[in-house]
Amino acid sequence: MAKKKIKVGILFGGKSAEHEVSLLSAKNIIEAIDRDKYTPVLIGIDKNGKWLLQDAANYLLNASNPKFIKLKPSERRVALVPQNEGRLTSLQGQPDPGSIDVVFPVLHGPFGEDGALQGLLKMADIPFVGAGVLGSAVGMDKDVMKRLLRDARIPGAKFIAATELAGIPEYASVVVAVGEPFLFLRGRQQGPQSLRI
Amino acid sequence: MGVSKVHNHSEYEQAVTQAFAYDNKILLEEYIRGREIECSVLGNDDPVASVPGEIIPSHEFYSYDAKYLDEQGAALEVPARLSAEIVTAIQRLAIATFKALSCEGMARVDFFLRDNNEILVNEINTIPGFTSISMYPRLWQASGIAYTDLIDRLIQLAFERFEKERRLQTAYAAD
Repeated sequence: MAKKKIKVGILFGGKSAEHEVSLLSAKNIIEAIDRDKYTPVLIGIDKNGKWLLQDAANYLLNASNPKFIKLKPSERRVALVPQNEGRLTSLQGQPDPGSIDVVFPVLHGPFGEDGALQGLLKMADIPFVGAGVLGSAVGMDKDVMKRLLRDARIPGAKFIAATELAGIPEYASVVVAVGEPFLFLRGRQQGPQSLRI
Repeated sequence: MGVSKVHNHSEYEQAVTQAFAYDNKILLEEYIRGREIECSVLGNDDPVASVPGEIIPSHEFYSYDAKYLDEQGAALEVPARLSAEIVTAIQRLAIATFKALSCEGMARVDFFLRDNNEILVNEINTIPGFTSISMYPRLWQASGIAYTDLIDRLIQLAFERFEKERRLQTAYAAD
């Protein structure tokens, strides 16, 4: 007897500077996932943050060109609501969009990797791949991340954090603390500059 | 926009004027000259580390295009050419970092390796890239876990974590 396949909600795209990278990552995962065991359910998030149910056979434009790859527009807006056993809700009165058993978030940067989505998935009571709310949020805030690593005696580059409210440190004191030249970074990792492959 | 290398006072003044347009917090960080090594971590309570890989940049900063969109821009060496001692030390630090930052499932930990063999953790990515040129799945392939099996393992870890959390909640409710 055939075992019931697990429905994996693949969330990709997203309201982030790394939208296109996410499309490329999702494409690989969708191609490689074991179809004997899993049924992928594709939810593409557009650049406005809307969740759009996608057809697994046809969800990308310019799929083979990394520079022009795009999420295919879809009218099938869906949402996950708290405690609904993984059932997707159609926001446009369309027929039942079905349910998912687990979510694989393939979203880089804010709203996908920073704990926001992970909180939503916890509220929805659905298992999901990767770090939870705390690990995700910590990983996106370089200042908090580096403080925790320092506390665990894990070696890292010297740093100082500064906020507009607390005031910007004098150049001379920065050089004393971290040397010269030094890197000037945003506290939260929101841009592609903080990424590596 | 987000990252710059400051060599002198006037560059600092310039960076400061634009800084808070993007974020309410900035970080001033020591510039590390060293090799860029990455290591993949997989697991929940008992995570394991992959063989490390190396990024050999062709630009001073790893630009967006070079990292993801231009395969020529980034030379990846998998596995990285490192002594057995350094490999072990990096793997140990990758797991320690994963645990210290409350990670679960997967993460890629990025390092600097100085000429004197000093290893520094640079950052962690909790949703690493999965593109055809991405380090996370490539390092697992080099460690004996094929792409399809990696996805399978990650999904199973998601269920294991979920069940564990559910048991905790049930125990709490029953008290």
